[in-house]
Amino acid sequence: VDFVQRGHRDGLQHLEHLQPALQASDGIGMRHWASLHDFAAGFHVPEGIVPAAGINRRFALRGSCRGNISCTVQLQEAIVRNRPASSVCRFTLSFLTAAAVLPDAQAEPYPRGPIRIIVPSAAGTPPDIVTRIIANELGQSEGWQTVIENKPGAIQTIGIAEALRAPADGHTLVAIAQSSAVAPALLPGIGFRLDIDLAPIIKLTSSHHVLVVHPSVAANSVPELVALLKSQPDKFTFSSGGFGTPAHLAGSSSWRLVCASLMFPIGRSRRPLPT
Amino acid sequence: LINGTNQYQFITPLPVLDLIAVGKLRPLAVTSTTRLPALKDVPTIVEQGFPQLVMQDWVGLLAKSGTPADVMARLNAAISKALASGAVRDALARMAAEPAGGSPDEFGRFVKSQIAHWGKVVREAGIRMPHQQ
Repeated sequence: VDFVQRGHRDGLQHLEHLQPALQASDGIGMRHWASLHDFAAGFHVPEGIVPAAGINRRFALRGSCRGNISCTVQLQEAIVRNRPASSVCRFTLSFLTAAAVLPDAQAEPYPRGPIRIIVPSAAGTPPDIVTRIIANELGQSEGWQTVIENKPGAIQTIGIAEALRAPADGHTLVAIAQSSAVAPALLPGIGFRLDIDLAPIIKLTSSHHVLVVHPSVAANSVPELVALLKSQPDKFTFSSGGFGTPAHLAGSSSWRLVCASLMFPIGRSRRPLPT
Repeated sequence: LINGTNQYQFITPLPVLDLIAVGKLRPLAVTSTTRLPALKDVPTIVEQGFPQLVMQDWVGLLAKSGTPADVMARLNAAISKALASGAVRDALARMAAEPAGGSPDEFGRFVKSQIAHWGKVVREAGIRMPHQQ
């Protein structure tokens, strides 16, 4: 590739690392670029820049982040002129990734727009309510605009995967709950690592559950319920909000150890509430 | 549960507080180590001799790895402040949730410990998804 060779000649050894970087930059910036017919128009280059390869120049991508990378006006123009559209996109993305990791990248004010918070639980569930309480406060105290998107399903993994498709710029967050920590054990095929692909910001809340019985059940304490379940294991079933939820785990794990093997139906997540 | 299809359930307090109050459900225990303010007459599961059934539910906020450190710090600071506000604490108390907080590192360690804990529970109890059964 011309610009890599040219960069090497000019002492920019790290240019070759930009190519591996582009492989991992799924989704970054695609939304911004898809609407631009003229890719070159997306570059804003300060006046007076020396158009010579090998000199670090600050650039800005419209609707994107700012930083220092080793490429020049000429280089960008060469890419735009010589590459098919999809390649332009991908090379641009690699620059974007590089800009984000370079230590001298200039800090941008944050946030630059609405913060999208993905809640991988249905509207009206505790994680959703907690997130809305916090988001509301952030709007009042910080003036931040937040958009909450409920993406329930597959033990929270659908919503988490959605968050991982967005740029790592702090404008897409995900509010996970306890069941997401169970997903790796129940769904070995999930394509991400909760503890690697996601970066923790803060724990919002903790809470506990209450064990309730239908009034017809002749038990007034946990030992009485356990005795009942052991004596008539086929007669009783429990409900939960779905696989991997705290209620499901409490019902099927510890109880299975304490009692006999118990039957249980799969509960559907509650119907989403209007938000 | 209400119509008697199932007979018992572990559930977050919020949706059942009213049902408990009017007698449509009977509470047997809370899964915390200390009693909950919203259900202070209900004994804990520890009091009844089942400490292995203590279980914490939680909510936490994460970003994609690679998010700039200054943005992460800004988010942690702003949300720490939000968690300390009276309005937030009142709203959380009404749904029987306790504000948490702390540093990103603390939450990261907690998430790792939860993954390990629930992985062990799932293995030991032999819990499987329906398609694996």
